Amino acid sequence: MLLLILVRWDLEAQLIFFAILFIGAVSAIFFIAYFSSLLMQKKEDAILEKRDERESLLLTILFEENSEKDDLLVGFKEFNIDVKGNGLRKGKRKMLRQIMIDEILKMKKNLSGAGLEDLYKLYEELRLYKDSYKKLTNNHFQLMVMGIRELSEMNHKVYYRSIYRCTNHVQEDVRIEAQLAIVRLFGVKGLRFLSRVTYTISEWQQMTLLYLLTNMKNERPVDIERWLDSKNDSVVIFSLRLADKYNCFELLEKIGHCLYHPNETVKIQAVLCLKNIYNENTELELLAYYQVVSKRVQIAVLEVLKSLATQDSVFFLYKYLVSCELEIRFSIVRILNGLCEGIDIIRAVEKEPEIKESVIQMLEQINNEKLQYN
Amino acid sequence: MCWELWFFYFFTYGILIYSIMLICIYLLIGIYSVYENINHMRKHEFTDYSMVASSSVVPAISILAPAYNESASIVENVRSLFSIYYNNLELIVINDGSKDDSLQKLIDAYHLVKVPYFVNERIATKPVRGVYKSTNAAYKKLTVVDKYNGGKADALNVGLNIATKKYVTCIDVDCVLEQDALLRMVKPFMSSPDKHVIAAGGVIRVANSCEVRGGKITKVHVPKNMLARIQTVEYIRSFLLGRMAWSKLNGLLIISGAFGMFDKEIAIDAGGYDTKTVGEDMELIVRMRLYMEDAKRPYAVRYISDPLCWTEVPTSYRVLWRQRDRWMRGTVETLWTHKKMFFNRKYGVLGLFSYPYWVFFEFLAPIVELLGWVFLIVYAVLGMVIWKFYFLLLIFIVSFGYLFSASSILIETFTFRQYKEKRDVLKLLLAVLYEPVIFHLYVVAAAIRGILKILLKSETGWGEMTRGGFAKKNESVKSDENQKLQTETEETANHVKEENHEK
Amino acid sequence: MAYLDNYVNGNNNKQNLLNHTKINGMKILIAEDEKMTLKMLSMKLQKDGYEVIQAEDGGVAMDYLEKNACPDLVITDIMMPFYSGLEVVEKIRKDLKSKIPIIVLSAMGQEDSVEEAFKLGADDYITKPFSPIELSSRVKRLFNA
Repeated sequence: MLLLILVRWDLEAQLIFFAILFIGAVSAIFFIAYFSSLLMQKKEDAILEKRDERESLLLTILFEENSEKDDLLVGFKEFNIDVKGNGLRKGKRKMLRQIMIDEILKMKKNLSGAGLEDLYKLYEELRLYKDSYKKLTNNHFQLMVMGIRELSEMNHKVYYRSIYRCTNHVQEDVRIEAQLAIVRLFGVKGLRFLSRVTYTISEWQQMTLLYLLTNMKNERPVDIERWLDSKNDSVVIFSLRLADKYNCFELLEKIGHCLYHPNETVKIQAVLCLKNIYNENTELELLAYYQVVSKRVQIAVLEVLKSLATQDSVFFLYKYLVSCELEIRFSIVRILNGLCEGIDIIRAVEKEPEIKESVIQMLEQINNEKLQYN
Repeated sequence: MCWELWFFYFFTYGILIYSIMLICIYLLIGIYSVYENINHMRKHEFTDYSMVASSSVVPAISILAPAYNESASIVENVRSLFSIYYNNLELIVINDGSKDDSLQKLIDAYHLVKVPYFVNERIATKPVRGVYKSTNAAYKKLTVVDKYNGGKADALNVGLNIATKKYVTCIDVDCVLEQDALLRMVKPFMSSPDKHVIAAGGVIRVANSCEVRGGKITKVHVPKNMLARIQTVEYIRSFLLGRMAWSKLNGLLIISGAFGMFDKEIAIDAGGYDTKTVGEDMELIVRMRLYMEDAKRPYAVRYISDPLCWTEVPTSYRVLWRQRDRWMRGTVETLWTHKKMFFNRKYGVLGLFSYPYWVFFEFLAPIVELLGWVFLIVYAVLGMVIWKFYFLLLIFIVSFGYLFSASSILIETFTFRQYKEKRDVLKLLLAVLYEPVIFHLYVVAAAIRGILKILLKSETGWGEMTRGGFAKKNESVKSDENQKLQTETEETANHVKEENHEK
Repeated sequence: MAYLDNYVNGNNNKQNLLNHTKINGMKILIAEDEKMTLKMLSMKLQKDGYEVIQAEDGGVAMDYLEKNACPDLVITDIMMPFYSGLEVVEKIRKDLKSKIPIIVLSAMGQEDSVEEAFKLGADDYITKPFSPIELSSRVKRLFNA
């Protein structure tokens, strides 16, 4: 209808119409932008205030002397009567409880020992885990992630099955968080999920998992051997890292197999493992291995040789000193420097002045590095 | 038909079609960006970056900071680099043959001594005069390289040669980074197993008038200076409504030189920075992408949509002029160097979409706008303009531009919310209103001047050494996708009125 | 001068639930840039009866050390803006030639920096996250030693 009228108008009228339309739209956007910003600010301020309120209360509770602590906890419940839902709208109640959870999580980062136990206790007593679980069972993945995180951070193990089920979830964020959560809750035992995970575990995720494990009591995972056979390359890589971290000497043979894995990254990781896990044959094996692999793996081999190499390697290394690129040559010089006299190394490359020049420079740098901070 | 008529038709309709296309493209990109922004808004960031940053499990990063004649601020700037919150780090400051006492100041402040150092010159550069390390263990991470002058790109190449870590970040020392910036940048490199991430860039925001303490932004303000304020709007619009979409298409051609991270091996294999262009940051990304395309390796360039880096923008017209002139020359040089990509199917999105977009709407836009103005004047003199239509179209076009800018600010208030004071948003909206008048035309003129410079110089080859980037601090965002919008508008106005004329 | 406004004397805190009995008026300077951590550390130490001076980054801490008499104990984070914890330790030991006890705060996995700090003359370290009880006992031990 409108279109019909429009078409009947002449060009000028049409243009005027559109111009007005546009100006209208523009001013509408302007108004919306301005007022929504005001509104959001107001909301944010209100939340901030609530946050501060809860924060200072939490602090008081945490550092109160033991005798008064229980009283305060009771008082806290009274103060937070809204948590129980008296006279508050559901939405607002939910929001306030979420603020409480956020604050507890924030403080948790700074606490260990008895202080941490108090926080866990608080989380239980206010039944905040119910809120978290509700999020976990929601279909929206962002909420699931939040729920999983909260439950695991607060060491609430009751729902671990639901969390474990998520460790191979289709949605990446959920999967990642569930894996972290299971490790947070059960430490190395939680790594069980490695047996079933079919998705790639990214470098980042591996790093975070290792970081979590660093802060836990050292208990060795038992299944590494099985994971090293996994069809999922990223699981193999991660297991190699674990083997390295926990010094699993009994896995040496298995790690040796991984040197011939089709995936180059696995090879590199396996080589790096040998830095800590090795026996008397490793050095010679590596030297043989060096000749059949790509440059990236070679660099890793040299890295390991830095700590493993003995006089047995010297002859071999001299051979490669003259025939390779600078980056590799530098590593070789570094290794040789620890094994023999600098002057011998220079003599070995006497015939080629260019190489000699670079080797001298390298030696100078290496020797200086040793002196710099001692 | 006589040639004049052909000429007339060609330009009138040509410009009209161009403008319509431009508006359509902007609309598409804009809508796509809004969609992506809404997605982003829903997504909470959970990773607790600060805890990981202080641990030693994080990947190693080399930071490259070139310096040229910055004697007055160099010590402070390096100090602020030390406050970057990241454990596994090496800081490489490259003194590009400064003529002042920059080097001596660094030596004194950080107890540096010259050390023997073997430089693996994988990229050919101007010779290195010396490498300095501190004797004080507190500054263990710092390496200062002194080299003969060769321009910013050359200095960065030296940095690439010397860097020992897997990832390198090039930053302007006067930028203010968010505390977790480095971790956020490095995360994409490690979280996409199927694609090799070769580079990552982040959002740049305007730091003018913001309160800074200890290398941290403590309070965000809308700039007091009018010019800076307009640029704030420009940056928000460009990053929220432009790059977001391009990065999702994996078609991002630029990562701002002020703060970007690269995979060192790929950057070196691709040949490092080009010392012959003024737009070395854009050129490197394009070349790295080409390198990966040619090698047929799956790769990605990532974009982090949260504000990570704050920079001062020019507050004087003179500096702004130089900056935009330079950006345009950088763009043209880069596009020219890699002209083989133009509508080349082999390069996928890059060749069919990104590159032509840059040619048509980044490079040609100022030229078309100029033409538009010229024709307007000619027709006006000849009395051929129907003013009523002209003004109607002008309104139409200008308000389209307003719509675009205002939407970006609306998105900003819903997503990142950097501007928290009551009047801030109002100030920004006002800046949107006066942008076309006092900013847009000037910027277009600067761009045209840049193009002219290149054309005039084309016989003598593409470039003499330019060191401008060091002297000025503010060249950070290479180009702004949307800024040209208002311009086109006027052209549309021009030809439509012309069109009527013919009737 | 600019930093002066930033001193927050612990006793001015609005947490009036706290008791202010000072143990012989012992003054502790805490330098830590993470606000929450700073708050919690000073809260705990105030509860224990010490007087706490909060510095929210290395700059404020250095400035305080320069302009005031040395506090009786310093707790400093390692990674901070302006001046790192290492520099703070160095200043106290080398420039001020003071023997007051210093505790460095370090996050997990920062062992190398801790070692560095010990070399420069720090006495003890506490990891973050910290246990409040451990904190007070370490502080107490250093005061008694």
